[in-house]
Amino acid sequence: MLTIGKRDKETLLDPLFRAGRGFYALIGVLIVIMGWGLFMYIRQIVLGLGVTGMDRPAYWGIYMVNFIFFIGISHAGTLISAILRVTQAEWRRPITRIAEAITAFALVVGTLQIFFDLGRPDRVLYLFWYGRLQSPLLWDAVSVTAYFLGSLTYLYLPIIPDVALLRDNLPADAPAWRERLYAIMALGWRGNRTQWIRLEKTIAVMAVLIIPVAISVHTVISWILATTVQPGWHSTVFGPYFVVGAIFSGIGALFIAMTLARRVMHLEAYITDRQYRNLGYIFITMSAIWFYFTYAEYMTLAAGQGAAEFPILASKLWGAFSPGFWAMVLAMVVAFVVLVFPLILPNSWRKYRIFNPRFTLASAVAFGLAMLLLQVPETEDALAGLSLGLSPIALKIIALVAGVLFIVSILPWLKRHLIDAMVIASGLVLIGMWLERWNIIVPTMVSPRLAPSSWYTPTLTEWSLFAASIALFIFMFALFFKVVPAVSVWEVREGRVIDHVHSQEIMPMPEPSLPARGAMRRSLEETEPTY
Amino acid sequence: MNFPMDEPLFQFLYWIINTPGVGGIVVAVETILIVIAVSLSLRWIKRGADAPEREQFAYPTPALHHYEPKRRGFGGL
Repeated sequence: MLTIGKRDKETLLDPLFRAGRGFYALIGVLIVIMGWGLFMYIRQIVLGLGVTGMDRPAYWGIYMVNFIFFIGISHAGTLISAILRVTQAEWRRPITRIAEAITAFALVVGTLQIFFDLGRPDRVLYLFWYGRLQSPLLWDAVSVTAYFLGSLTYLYLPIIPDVALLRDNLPADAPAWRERLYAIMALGWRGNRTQWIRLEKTIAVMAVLIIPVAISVHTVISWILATTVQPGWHSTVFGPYFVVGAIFSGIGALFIAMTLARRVMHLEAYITDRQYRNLGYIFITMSAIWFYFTYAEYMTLAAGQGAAEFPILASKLWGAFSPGFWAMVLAMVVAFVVLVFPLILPNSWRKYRIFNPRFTLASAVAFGLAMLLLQVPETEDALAGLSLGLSPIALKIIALVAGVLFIVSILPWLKRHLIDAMVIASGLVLIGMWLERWNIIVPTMVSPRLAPSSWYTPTLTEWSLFAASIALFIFMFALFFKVVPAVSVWEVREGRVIDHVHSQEIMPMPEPSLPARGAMRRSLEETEPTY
Repeated sequence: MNFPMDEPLFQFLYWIINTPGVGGIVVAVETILIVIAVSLSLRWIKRGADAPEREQFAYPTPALHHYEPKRRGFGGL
């Protein structure tokens, strides 16, 4: 019989057998949202795709945006679990399972979007009956299939020792179905040396294999767009650009998921500042790489001034799609500031008046008022009524300055609340990445090459299925972590031993360098043998 | 310059990538191979429990790989 420490049992295993009102309320709300989504989907099948905003030539809309978005956040598991496991980053241990779960569930939700996008979902079989290997859609089927099966395996393998622990430490009042489930999932796990070595070898092989598969998935998704000659899509940089964006949004999803798990399941002793800080460094790096690729992509389009490409770029920069584009840029810039500046801000800066909470509140109010007044259709009349004499341009400048001051003044608070800062940045990154997918898909779709332009606005059906998709993702997440511990128990226990051994090591002091012009150095040099 | 399609190899490659249905076969073969590989790996791990070793460990450490286990003796576990 496998044993577990009291604290680990109370924190990680026992809550799996308890569920409060909050849990049932959450599940109820999610079921209602999913039920509404199912109703709208059935309605879409019955009435046809006319109930969506999609029409010739805009065949792809919010469903395709969601497909790329969810497949993108599925890269969390690959990055955190596989790459960090291969590089033996010890701090990964408490968050690997959450990351792997995100991968599996995001792939399920992402793949569903393809069915939503097809007016006749049965026609997905045509891809297999009549699919030719020259089609990027088929490459996508190949890589997503490999990634999904690989991710499920990669999620399951480290679970085996933990479900064996559950099997051997079940409470007396545990339901029979759990007993059977854990016995089946544990695969007769005994925890002897041979089993451990075989398990670790299999996980190591999977970790190495899953990395190129994951990279291929988002590269191929980008090739669905880039292998066409549609303006704005025919780009060689799309492959790495999509992979970087996927990993970036994956880390954002992981931050939010691990924070929720930490607070709801009281995992503060397991998921600590160490995980947030180290993952935050990777997040910042990915943010910088994303900015680089975004600039490279848009700069070449702007410099090329292509007859078909430039109008689409213009529609993003100052045309009909500019709100979405600049909202993406703003979200990403603010996320970068929120991530980086608290780390480099010295504590002594708190003495300056600008970091006063009252100043933060005042700048927030000024920003809010300026934005509110900008939304009023007859802004100038309204302002004249207020006798402020401010033009819309002045209001925009006030909003910009107040916004910047708000972010700057809140930095010391973010520095003191590292986890909150990471969650805020993650939320902004997820919004920004969703908008990025929107900005890539929709502007080109409504103005394709050799076809008249059109317009696309998502309908209630599409928004409902979007909400249902998010609800399904949370639903799977919530149920899964009522069956399996959110933290990999055996990996954390192994990590504790390794950390303890490392703490016993005594780092020797560096050898003092000899004085450059001292007599001792000269004498040493003179006495040293020469070869 | 000779057009490569004169070569049987290129004719075969052309057939592979342009024939409807071959893509579906590739996905099916890929799925079957992955499922077989995963099943065999899980079976291999499961059969590790049959090894004649007395000790059970709640977690591994790198030292476990170099550890000489105590074998089951006569009338042992």
